[in-house]
Parts: sequence; C-alpha cells; structure tokens
Amino acid sequence: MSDAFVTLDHLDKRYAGHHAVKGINLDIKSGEFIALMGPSGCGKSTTLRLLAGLDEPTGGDIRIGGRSMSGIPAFQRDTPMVWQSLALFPFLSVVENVEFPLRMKKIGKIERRKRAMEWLERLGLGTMAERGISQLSGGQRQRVAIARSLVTQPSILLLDEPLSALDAHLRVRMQTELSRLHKELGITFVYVTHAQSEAFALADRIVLMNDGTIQQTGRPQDVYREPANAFVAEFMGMNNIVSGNVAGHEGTDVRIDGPLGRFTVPAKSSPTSEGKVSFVIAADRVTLSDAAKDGGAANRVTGNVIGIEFVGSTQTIFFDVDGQEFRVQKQQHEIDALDLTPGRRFDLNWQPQHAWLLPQAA
Amino acid sequence: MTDIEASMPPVKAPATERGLFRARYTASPATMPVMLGLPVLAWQLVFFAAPLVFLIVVTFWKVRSFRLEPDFSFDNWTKIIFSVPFQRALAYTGEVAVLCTALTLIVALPAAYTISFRLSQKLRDLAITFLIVPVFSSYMLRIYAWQIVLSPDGIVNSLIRMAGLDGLPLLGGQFALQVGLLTLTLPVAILILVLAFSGIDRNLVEAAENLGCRRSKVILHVLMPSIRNATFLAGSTAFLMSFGDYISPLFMTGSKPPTLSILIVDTVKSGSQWPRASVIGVIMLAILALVFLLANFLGRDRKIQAGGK
Amino acid sequence: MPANLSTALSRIGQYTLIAAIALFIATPMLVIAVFSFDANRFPTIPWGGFSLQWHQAVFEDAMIRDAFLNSLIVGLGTAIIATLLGFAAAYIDYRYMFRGKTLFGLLVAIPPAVPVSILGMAMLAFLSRLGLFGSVEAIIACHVAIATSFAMAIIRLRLGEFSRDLEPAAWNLGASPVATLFTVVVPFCKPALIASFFLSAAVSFDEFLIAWFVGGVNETLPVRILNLLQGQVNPKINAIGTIVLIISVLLVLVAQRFTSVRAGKAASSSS
Repeated sequence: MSDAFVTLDHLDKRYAGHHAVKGINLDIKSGEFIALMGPSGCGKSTTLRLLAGLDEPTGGDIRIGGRSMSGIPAFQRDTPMVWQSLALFPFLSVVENVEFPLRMKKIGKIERRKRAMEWLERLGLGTMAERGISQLSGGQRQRVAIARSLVTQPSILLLDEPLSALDAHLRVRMQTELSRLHKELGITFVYVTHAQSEAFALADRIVLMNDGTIQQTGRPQDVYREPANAFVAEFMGMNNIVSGNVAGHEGTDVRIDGPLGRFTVPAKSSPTSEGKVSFVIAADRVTLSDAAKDGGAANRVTGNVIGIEFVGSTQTIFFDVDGQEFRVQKQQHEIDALDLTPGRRFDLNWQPQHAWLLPQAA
Repeated sequence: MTDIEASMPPVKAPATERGLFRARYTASPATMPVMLGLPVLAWQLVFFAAPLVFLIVVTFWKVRSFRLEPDFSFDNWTKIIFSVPFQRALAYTGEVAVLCTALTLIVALPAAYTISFRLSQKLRDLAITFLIVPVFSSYMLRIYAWQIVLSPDGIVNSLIRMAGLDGLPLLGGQFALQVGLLTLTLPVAILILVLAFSGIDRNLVEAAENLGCRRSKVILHVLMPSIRNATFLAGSTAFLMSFGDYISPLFMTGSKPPTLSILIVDTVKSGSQWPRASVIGVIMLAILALVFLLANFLGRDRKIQAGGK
Repeated sequence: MPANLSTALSRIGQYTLIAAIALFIATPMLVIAVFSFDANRFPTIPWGGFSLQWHQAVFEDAMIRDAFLNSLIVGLGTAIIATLLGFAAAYIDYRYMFRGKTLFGLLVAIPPAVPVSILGMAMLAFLSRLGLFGSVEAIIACHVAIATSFAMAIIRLRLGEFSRDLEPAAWNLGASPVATLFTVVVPFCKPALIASFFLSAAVSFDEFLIAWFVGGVNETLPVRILNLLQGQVNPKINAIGTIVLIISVLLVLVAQRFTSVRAGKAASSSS
C-alpha cells in the first residue's frame, strides 16, 4: 500500500441503468506500466476516465501521489491522456497543439515554443511543426498526441487504446516507441487496450477486467499461464478448458474424471477440493501424435482435425474432441511432417505440470 | 469478490444528473449553461414571445379615446369575425396562398430534381448560391423591379408595342401577384427540395434502375417517397410566406383587394385599432400553425406506415 | 415515341426550366442595377442613355445618408448580438440535455417563420408599453430576435462536426471549461461565426417592416426605400436599390463562403 503511487480505493461508477465500475481496488507503483484489459464494456475505459477526472465516481476514491482526487476537476489533475481518437485540435498547427497545455499553464510564448519544439524533435517531428493536423499521416498524428501529453512533464500518462486506429506495421513501431519513452521517462503509464499483443509487449503488469470488476492482476505471462478463472482463461485466447469431477488426490496432484477422460493436474493453484472443477491447458503446450498408436496414458484426448489458421509461422490447429473445440498451437516446422487434412484423428497429449487447475467458483 | 462488494460504500446518484442541466459529460460547472442560456432565453422571451402573448391579450382590450385600456371583452373578436371586409380578405388571402403553394411545388419539384441529378457538381454549387442569395437579399426591391417590368409603360409592354401589338394589363391582377409571391417562395422551396434530394443514397436510385425500373418509375417509387417530408415542408413554407406577405400585394395589386397583412397594417395605421388588428394577427397565426401541424402530420404519417411494412 | 427521343426532350425541358428560373431570379436584380444608370426618369425601354446623376443624387440626399447610417448601426449591432446569442444557443443545444430543451429550441428557431407584419405590430404594441420603441436600439433588439435563429442554425451545423472528445481533451490538458470554450470551441466554430455574422447583418439590412413599426422616426435604408416607393416615381430608388442590392448580395455571399453547406455530399459522391 505504502509504495503505491496511484490507488483506486473501492472505486465505483454508476450511470443511469448501468453499473460500469463495481468498487474496484488497485495499487499502481510509481513508474509502472499498467495495462487495463478486458472486452468492450468491461469498465476499463471508464476507469481511465475516472482517473483523468472526466467522469465523477459515484463511490470510493482515487489517490494519486497520496492525494485524494475527490472533487478535483480534470483540468487541475495533470493526468494527461492519449485518446483513441487522438483528439488533436484541427484548427491549431502541430506545434500549437503541443503548446496547448503549456499555454493553459500561462507559460510564456518563447518558453513554451522552445519546450514544444524539444518534444517534437524528440519524436522526430521537428520539420512538421508548422503543418496543419490534416497534413499528417496517422503515425505522425499519434506522435503529436503523445508529445502534447508529455510536454508538461507529468508523472503519469493515460493512454486509451491509442494504437487501435493504426495499421499492424505502424502499431508495432509505435509500441517500440512507447516502450522506449516509458523507460526513458520513468513515469507511470496506464494503458487501456483490448489487444493482448499490446499488453504483452508493453506492460509490466496487466489488470484484466470484466463486467466492472477486476478479474486478475499480474505479470502478463503469469496471467496467461495461471488464469484466475474461466473468464480470464478464455479471454487470454489460446487456452483449452477441460471440466470434470475430482476423483482423488495423489500427493500434490488432483485426479479428475470428466467426459473427455481421466486427467492428472497439479493442485498448486488451489488446495481443494471436491466436486466439479475445470483446468486449463495452453494451446502451445499440447503435442500431437497419431491416434493409431495405442496409449492408455492420462492427459490425453483424441480429436478430429477441423481446420487450420495461419498467423505468420505460427499455426493454430482446431480439433473436435467429442463435440468440444480444442486448439493446438505449433510452429510451422514442427508440423511439416504431419498430415492435417480435416477429419484426420490425432492424440493430443500434454505434461501434467503444464495443466493449470482453475480456482473453484465460490 | 464478496469482500469488496460488502465494503462497497452506498451508491449515491450523481448530483449532476439530478439537476436541470445535465452535461453530456461532467467536469463542467453547472453555472456555465445558465450563464450561456439565460441571455438567449431572456432575449427571445422579451422580444419575441412576450410581444406575441401580448398580441393575444390585446385582442380582449378596448380602445377608448385613442388609448388602449385593459378589458376582457370579446367585442373585437366578434367585430372582426363578422365583418365582411375581413371575411373577404381571409378568403382571398387563403385562395392566393393555396394557388401560390401549388405553383411553387409544380415548378420547384422538377427544378430541384434537375439541379440535384442533372447538373455537374460545379453547376449545382452555383445553383445553390443563386438560390440562397435572393432568400436573404432585398425582396422589396425585387418586387419593385417586377413592378417596373410589368407596369403599363414598363419593359414588357414596351417590347410588346415594339412588336406592333397592344400592351397588356399585366399589373394589378392575380398574375402579377403570383409573380411577386413566387419571387419570395420559389428559391426557398427549391433549396429545401434540393437538400432533401441530396440526402438520398444514389446507390438506391442506381439499384432501382439496374433492376429495370424506368426513370419515371424510379422518380415515382423511389425519389418521391424519400422526399415526402421535404415536399410537405416546402409546401407549408410556401403557404406561410405567401399567406403573410405584405409587399407583393402592396406593389403588384396596389392592395386591391386587400390581403390580411395589408388589412393589419391599414387597421393599425388608420385610427389605432390595435385590438382589432391583433385579432386578425392571432387568427393568421392560428391558421399558419394549423397548416404546419397538418403538413407535419401528413408528412410523418406516411413514413410510419412505410416503416411498418 | 422512341426512348432516346423522349429522354432527349425531357432533358431539354429540364434545362429550359432551370434557365427560366435563373432568368426569373436574375431579372429583378438586373433591372434595378441597369436602370439606375438610365438617364430617363421612368425606367423603361428604350434606354435613355448612360447617366450617373441618380447615384449622385442619392449621395447628396441627407435623409438617405442618415438612413444608411442607421442601417449600418442596426446591421452591425444585430450581427454582433445575434452571433453571440446564436453561438450560446447552438452550444447549449449541442452540449446539454435539460427539461424544456425542445421549447428552448423553438423559442430561438421560430421567429423567422412568423409573418413580419404580425411580428412588427406585436413588437411595437409590446415595446411601446415598455417605452422601448422609436429607437435604433429597439430595431436592433427585434432584429436580433429573428436573426439569432439563422445564427444558431449555422453554428449548430458546424458543431455537428465537433468531435465529442475535443472538450474533455482540453480539460485533460489543463484548460478549465470556460477556457475550453474560448480556446477550443470558439476557434473551431470560427468559420460559422463569421458566416452567421454576415448572414445576420444581411437579414437585418434587408428587413423593413419591423424596422418601420418599431423604428419610429429612425428610418433604416429599406424603410426609406419603402417610403420613397409609396410616394411618386423616383428614379433615385434604382440607384439606392443598386447599392442596397450589392451590399446585401455581398453579405450573403461572404456568409455562404464560410458555411459548410454544400450541394449535398451524398449526391456528389457517386457522380
């Protein structure tokens, strides 16, 4: 608690007929790069707007640098934001846009021009200063928006899906740039996105939200490997969820009986339990072998190929396992030798330690 | 999860949503809309709404020795409603306005269609400018110009005489009056219809033509229904303008026979019969309001039916 | 009749109609302008020879000069106030939801739809009770009540293109709501403000019946013309008319130059 730079304390926001944020708690350390993730309507953007003071919370508090933000209007907060729409002022030139926050702070003409130009040059826009916004490319506009937010040297930067309007190539370049800026400036970044790839590439910690509540916080790889619940597991995408009943315990492992077979899963995540449980097996942890070969081993299911999706050198093979869809992710070279014609049967195996038992719902 | 929920503070409705002014987003002091809105509200109330309300009040007042005195009497109403000159003027004004509305629509519909679908972008912009300018400039002067053109010794008659024919009595009849009124109504009506046509998706028209619709059928079944509302708006606007106009009757027919607007100005001018002039004004406003509501109703009614199919 | 021929005939008919309407709109303006340079007392054909005497006479006429000055003051005053009020009304309509919003909108929008003969009479009757009639200020007050409607329409149209994120973005960058209004909203609306300024001036410069009712002895130029017209044939009228015509056409053209009203983007996109 004590080293938190930003604290959300039972933060709550209700609109007429819609409970957007349901009393969430979160500590953000100074200099941390936090990604707020979740499906649209999960409350991540509202949380960001509450941080910026653009919406007023209906309950709880926000503290930044130990100071309660309650009653402090947006324009007195110094929580600059990079907008999804960029929200650049079309009637101002590039440099005037960057100068705007300095102008609002009543900083002299010469000084603010100097500081704005420094930022433009830092972001490679030195020669564009006098241009109109409409004369810039998408990536250049993005940089102007970032320069405008950072020119006042804030201690926190809010970003609301800033890269979603860019094409894939540009998006990766801007990610690198944001990452570099974050390292150089050492300030706190709060980044809202629905794109896993951005969160993984950038964030120290991700906060996954759904339906106004925080589902899980943690390092990206931890959230991916050790999801806190079925929602997180599904949201993170490349996970297969298998359900069954607890059949017994073997040391630290749990034996699970389900419609798809008999499985052994380490019980490290939850020291349970009885009754119905689910576990997750990541798509890239599954190995394929011919179904013709016999094998009575545990942690194996058999399924028919449905289809393949190619993303670069990574391939996702979809299987039908007794009516349930299974995804297996492989590198191209790993499956060159396999015949993956739809309808072919394969055994899908995995190491017990790679399965992750989901904590039981309360 | 349950911990959080239990310790959640009671939710109070945001104060901003309870107030009279609800900002679409908050963080703006509630004084701003009031500071901005009050001057407009006050101005329109004092200089527009109050005069009209007073107009209604005055209809019940009396004039004694050239002075207005508060009263509550229906005298003015009965005097006006049962006066023959008023009834004649009402019938004549209505007749003139209906004719003008019909003429306006007959000319404006094909004209707007041609401007929208037959002119190049450049010519279309030019046409729009050419229509906007007269709406806001010197109607009175243009009527005076028509008077010069149509007068017994005016330009048209001079041309006719040069051709060796007798001059025509152009001025002073329904023809001259309608020329004057169309000067007023035509640009506005065409503009309304051009704007409506430009809102139609061209793909719709092309799709209909691809399906083998003939142009005339496209117009009848695709274009006309889409501009139904605008047609009623153009018609009711033409009616409103011609019904209330003062200048055309004054110059084109020399106020003979008088229209209601002429009657109002004359009643005020001669003998300060304010209450009676007010009665005429209120009746005119009531008729115009009825026409607008009716046009609105007719324009809307069909749209709902079409949507329900 | 073969389809081609009927199409051709219909096209010719359509273009003829457009030409006829153009002539119908242009004729009165041209007549005024051309005959103001005619030496004849009564404007007719044949043309009596070129002369600037009527223009000269106009400039020497003190009453016309005074009326022109009045029109200038009324037009300027109306333009400034109507643009300010129109902006306030448009911004409120864009930005806030409140009870009675429709009524508020109607109160601003309706005045031009009320016949000026009735409105002029009502305004005079009411203002004379307040002792507010017979002055240039009274004319301005009444003209503003009408012109604000046009100003609001033009500015609201522009605000329709104003991104909902820009204001919060300005607050976020340290601008108070009031500062935002002046540093973001007003600059964004600038073209529309200019347009509504000129259009309000044109509306005022053109209006004569209300000015005649509430102006008392303070004649504006159109009122002067109306009074001249009701007297004997006066060749000066064409000369003033030309000046008035040029001014009001220029005002409207400038206003139109700054509005975003174009001949329909939808219609042009596919052609």
